[in-house]
Amino acid sequence: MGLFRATPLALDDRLPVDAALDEAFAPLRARTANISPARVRAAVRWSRPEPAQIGRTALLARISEITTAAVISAFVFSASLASLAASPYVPDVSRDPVVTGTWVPNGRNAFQRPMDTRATDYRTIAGDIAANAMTIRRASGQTGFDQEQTPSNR
Amino acid sequence: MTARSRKADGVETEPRGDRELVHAARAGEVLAFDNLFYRYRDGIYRLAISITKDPSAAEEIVVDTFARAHRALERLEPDDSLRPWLYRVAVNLSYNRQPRKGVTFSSLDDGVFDLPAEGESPTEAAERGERRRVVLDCVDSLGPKHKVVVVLYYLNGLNLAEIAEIADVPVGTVKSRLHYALRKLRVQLSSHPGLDFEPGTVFGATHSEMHTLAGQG
Repeated sequence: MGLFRATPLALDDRLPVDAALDEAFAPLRARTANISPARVRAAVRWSRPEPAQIGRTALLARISEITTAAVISAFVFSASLASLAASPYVPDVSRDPVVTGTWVPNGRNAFQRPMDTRATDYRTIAGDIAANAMTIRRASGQTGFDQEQTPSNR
Repeated sequence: MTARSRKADGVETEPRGDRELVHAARAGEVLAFDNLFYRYRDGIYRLAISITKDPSAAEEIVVDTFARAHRALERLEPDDSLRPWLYRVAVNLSYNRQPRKGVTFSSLDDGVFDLPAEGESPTEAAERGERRRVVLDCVDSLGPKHKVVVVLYYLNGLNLAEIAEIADVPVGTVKSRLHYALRKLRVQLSSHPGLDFEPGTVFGATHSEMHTLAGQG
């Protein structure tokens, strides 16, 4: 095939193409790049590996960061476990508290959960105070109601 | 910036060659690397922009090329010129860069060249601009191997030996590619009636070869 035949380039044939290419590339040939070498240095600096001294320091810093993170994680995890262990007792409502004897009558025709022996029964204390107050009033001739508020005084 | 170096006493000396500059840059002289940069920056930029058609991409390619050169300073051993090495990196980076889809770039600088020159009518200027666009379109239609040879030869003004070094092929192959590219360009330009190219006189191509070449555009 004659397509790839090594034919000599005729000057008359080549000159118009040369001129056309020269003219076509002229605007491009006049263009310049507004780039400074500082941009290259910045690109090199960003991709440059760290010096050994900085690398060791960075390694120590990274180890301390990891240690701190591990300690904080362990603290948070143990605290969450402790809060689970200290959760309040939830009575099993599926069981009949009366039958099982866990609940006791509260004196008002109802049942209540038995009070912890370690707890202070302020109701009892309040009841004692009220009883003492009534006793004092009776001793001084007063009833449990104020005189102004009794219906007979109205 | 000129390639001339200036000493502290203000006496200009002869510009240093690439080999000296590379050795100086390797020794840590910042100005030596800057000299290399300014010496080849524009050529690489033009080469990249002719391949990518993207000015911002061309700038990035220039930066990437010199960044690679900076990292390779220790093992660079330029005999005479650093140019083939830099251009080879730039060509590879240009062709490896993925073009942005659906985006075409045109520079305002191109419009300046369409303005009528002194003693030229607006019609002639418009014809000149149209002729230039047709020629560049024909160059773009060439295959990568042929296009690179044409761009390096006609735009960057490199000789055949340097192009051979950049393309990593023998000089004879460069000649062949240039010859084939010019034949094809001649045929394509002949198909435009407004251009002064006569079909049938394409470097000795026959009539059937002309049709074959035109069909491969």
